[in-house]
Amino acid sequence: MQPRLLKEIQSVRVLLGLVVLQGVLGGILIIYQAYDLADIVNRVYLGHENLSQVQYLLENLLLVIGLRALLTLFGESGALSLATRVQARLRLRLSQRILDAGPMYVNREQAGELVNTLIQGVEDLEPYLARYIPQVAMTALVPTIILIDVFAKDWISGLILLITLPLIPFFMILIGRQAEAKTQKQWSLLSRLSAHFLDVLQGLTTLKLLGQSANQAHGIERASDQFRQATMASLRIAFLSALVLELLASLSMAMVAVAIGLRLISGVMAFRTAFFLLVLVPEFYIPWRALGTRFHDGLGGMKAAQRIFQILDAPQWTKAFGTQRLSNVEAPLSFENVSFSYEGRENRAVEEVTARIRAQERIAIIGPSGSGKTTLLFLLMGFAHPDSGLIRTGDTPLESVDMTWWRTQVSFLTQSPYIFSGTVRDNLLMAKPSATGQELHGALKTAGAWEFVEDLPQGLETNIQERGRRLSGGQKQRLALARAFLQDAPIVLMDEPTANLDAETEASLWTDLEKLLAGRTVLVVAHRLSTVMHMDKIWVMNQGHLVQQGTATELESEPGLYRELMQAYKMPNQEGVG
Amino acid sequence: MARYLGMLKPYKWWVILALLAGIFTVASNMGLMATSAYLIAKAAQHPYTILLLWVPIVGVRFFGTSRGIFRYFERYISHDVTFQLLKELRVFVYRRLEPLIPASQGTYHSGDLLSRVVGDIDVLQNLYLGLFSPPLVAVFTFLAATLFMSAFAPALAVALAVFLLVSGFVVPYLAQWATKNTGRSLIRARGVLSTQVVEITRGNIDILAMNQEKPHLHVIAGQIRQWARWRGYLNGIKGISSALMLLLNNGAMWVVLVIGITLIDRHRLAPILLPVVVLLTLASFEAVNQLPGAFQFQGQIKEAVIRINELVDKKPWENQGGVDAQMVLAEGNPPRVLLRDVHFAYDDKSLESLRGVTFSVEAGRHVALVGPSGAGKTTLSGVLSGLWAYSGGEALFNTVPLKRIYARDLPHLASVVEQEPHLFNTTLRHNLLLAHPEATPEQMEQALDIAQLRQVVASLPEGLDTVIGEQGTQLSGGERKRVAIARVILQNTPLVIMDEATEGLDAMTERQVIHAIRRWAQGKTMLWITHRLSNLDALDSVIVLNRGVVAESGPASELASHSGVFARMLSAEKPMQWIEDVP
Repeated sequence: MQPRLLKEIQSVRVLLGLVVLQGVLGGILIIYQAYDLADIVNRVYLGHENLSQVQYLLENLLLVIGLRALLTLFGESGALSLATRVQARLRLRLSQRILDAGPMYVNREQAGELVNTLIQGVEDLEPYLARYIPQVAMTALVPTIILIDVFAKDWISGLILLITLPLIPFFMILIGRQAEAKTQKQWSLLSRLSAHFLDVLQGLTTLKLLGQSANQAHGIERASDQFRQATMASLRIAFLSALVLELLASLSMAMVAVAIGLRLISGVMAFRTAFFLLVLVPEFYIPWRALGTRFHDGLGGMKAAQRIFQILDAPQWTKAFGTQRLSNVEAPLSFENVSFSYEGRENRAVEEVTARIRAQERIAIIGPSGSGKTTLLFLLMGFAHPDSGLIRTGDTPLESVDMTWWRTQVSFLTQSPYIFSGTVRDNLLMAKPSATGQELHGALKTAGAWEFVEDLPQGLETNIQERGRRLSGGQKQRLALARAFLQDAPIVLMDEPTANLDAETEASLWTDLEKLLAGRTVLVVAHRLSTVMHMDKIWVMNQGHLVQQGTATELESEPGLYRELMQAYKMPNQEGVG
Repeated sequence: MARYLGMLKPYKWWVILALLAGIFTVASNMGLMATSAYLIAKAAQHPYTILLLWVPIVGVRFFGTSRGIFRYFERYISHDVTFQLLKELRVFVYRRLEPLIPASQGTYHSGDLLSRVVGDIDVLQNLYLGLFSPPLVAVFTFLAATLFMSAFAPALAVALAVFLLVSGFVVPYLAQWATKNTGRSLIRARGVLSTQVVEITRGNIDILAMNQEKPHLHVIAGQIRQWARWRGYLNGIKGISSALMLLLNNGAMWVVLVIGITLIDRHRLAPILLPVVVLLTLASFEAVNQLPGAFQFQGQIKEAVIRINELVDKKPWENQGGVDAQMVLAEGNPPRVLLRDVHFAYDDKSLESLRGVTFSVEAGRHVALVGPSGAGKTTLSGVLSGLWAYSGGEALFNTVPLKRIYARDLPHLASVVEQEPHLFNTTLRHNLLLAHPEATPEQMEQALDIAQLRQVVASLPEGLDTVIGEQGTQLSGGERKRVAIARVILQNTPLVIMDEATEGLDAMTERQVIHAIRRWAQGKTMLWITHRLSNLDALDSVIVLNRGVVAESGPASELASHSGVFARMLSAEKPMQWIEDVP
């Protein structure tokens, strides 16, 4: 059981209550139906009554059947709606949490896996919520009602049921525990095997180049066979619990049948009671059996629930800020002993960084990959708080500033800007919802994007496919640039915007980028020497530390990482290439 | 669908056993109910000795036990069959896809599509359990129940048959009909929702940076509501169909009861049989009650089959073959590569990526292949490594046309460091050994040295035996590239193609890697694809590709002094010039 999932169900407890109530009422009706049926059979068989004499009983029976059908209608759709509601709520909360956690969390997860959990994982909860949970409640109630009734009619049969009753959960737990652990392991193996297969398919090109693609068919066959054998070994036990239940049910059914049969002969018991018991006794075990199967069906949901709650526990990094709106961005921007570490990583991503950026100053951050450059930008975007230290704009700590306002004052250009589904216009208006047509046109022109937008089938109104598939890297950058022009913010942060472009495109993009940077405060993560050349000052990062800062000439004259990096770029390359 | 059912053929005895076990399970239940009803009915006649009850007592015991055992075997065998089918499906799909990828890369390589295939196979594996077995078991138990019943009275058998048929086929059919459109809408709603969720994950930075959280959440909430509405309708239909099934199950019992009483009135049925037929009726519905599920499943299976068929029925391109690697390298020398008017188009014939490429690279030379993005450089590397078949002209290794070389031998001749190499979710060691399964420890060391991976390996928690995650996510982009380089070192072919092999490495590492590779590749023919033009002087020559044709070629210094594509690109690249541009 997932205690947190149970807590989720609190929100639909009325519905759950109704579903369980329906189950209990259904159980009572089953008893009545058995009673009525036994009465009819008794009257006809032993009392030799004819159709018209039992007519009212038959009518009652039909009524009960109709009522049961009605209850089932409500019970079934109610249980499913219960699941639907919980699923809808969880989906919305997961979406909310992904946004609240922000890129510093999301970038470290696998986007595909997050999407899958939100869509398929939540979908998998249905059997667990709609079938298993109500079944647990009904298994506790319905057999008890039946038991009480059986006791009232015949204490010996009641005793037989009572004796077998604790045996069922006992065996379920005894066998089930072991089987459950094993089955759960197998299910995760199953999904891992699917993942393995997917991995092989996705790597087919590479396998081909390495000359290994033909061998993999055997690999897949072998892996599948091993998996099958391992799974069957554990299923042998898992199914055993069902067998034991089944045997227990049939055996006690047989015991009841024989016990009442013997007493019928001696005339101690009436046929009516005997037949009633015979019809009712299987119903006593049905909820238990259903519980077993539904538990099995719900396993996938239980696994999904673990991951769902893991995501719901993600840090709300982007939310931990204040509400202060300043009239203007105050200079300088300063980092004071700023440190940040990601969960589960030993080394800090950024450690004790102290530096300041004056108004309209342009700074390039360079350093080996993983040295904390992007983290520094993210912290300045307010995607998370530093663990310690302060970031200030003027004298105001960033943590007390309203981030919605702050982000209108900062433009952010990434390596591969995301183009959202919708039209070009939709994508531009995100940066400035109130922009007029003329402003859009102007921004596109300045960003050098007007030409290709004009060439699109419906110009500004062209629907760009998901992930901007129809646009080249350079075109996407220009759209992002147009967004930045519209936003017209005093601070521009960039994460190597030319990283994925070739030299010619890069050079022409820079002429347009320069128009944006003029008169603004700029902080850019640079991978290329060409980008560094556009900046006033350079920060050199290494393993989370800011190890050097200064102008290019200053840094050139002192020994350190900068000189090493530059030499690698500039020294005539004996070996050639690059 | 038949072809996939056909995959069960090797396991036909198991399938038959599972079906029999399934039928006997239901039959045992009918037997149990019938014999126990008979037992107490007989007992109620107060027979003078218990021995008269002996047969029904044994029957009750037998059926009570056999039911559980049959059920156990049914589940066990049918699961085994399912896993066998899963294996067959995977191997089948892999065998069909293997020659197709990446020949049809343009349309089929997207990760989404492949993960959908894997999902579809997961659906299809339940072909037996979900679709094949329930109707067969239902039909057989239907026959058994009606035959059994007709032994008591034909009228009862007819009534039972009608109810069984209606609940087994009419109700599921109606339910399916009523939900057909909703099912589709639901899938669509899910699709839209998943696009939205992709945006909040992959577009996370842009959404936050532009304060777009609220609008996005608003859209998502709307989609979820839409999804919940469709789902609500479906839930209602499911409720109605369950209610109808219950009505028919118990309705059949009621009708049998009424007919039975009428028959008894007319002395056409022994009164003692009344409890027997009533309970038998209830028990005979067990198999039929599984059918609505199977009907629903049928829709899913159908769609999965359509999608998989679409994929596996593509005709693959095959090498003619006839020449092996030994014959190509007659004297043990590296190959001379010669291209004459090579043409290639991905999908659309009108849009050729290579429009008549002609050049030659002499044996053992190291040549750069440069050009603006979209010039056809990567396409060329795919053609030379045999991934894609050129449509016109000829490509030769020494004197042998590429198309005549056995496909299985090409990886022994040419190796490629891909632009986006795939790393498998296993250990680093396994990822490397893929290139040369029998590599010695010394060879491994050498590859790690050349690719500058030593430090990386040392920093990993379990060294070479560290699992590097899906797509190698435990490694950085530059580290992944270096793993690909190490693979090519291990593969050790006479022709080496480096496709932007050092892109994404930091400058210092890059220099070291290039230095080491060039030393290692002495005596190999090497094609160095890059979009960076400075420092190409040390290479033997440069081939400039532009819009699918060779624009110019020659030593770098020579090209730089001409006023061609190369010179123009080179000037764009010179960082010094940009400094002058800065106002």
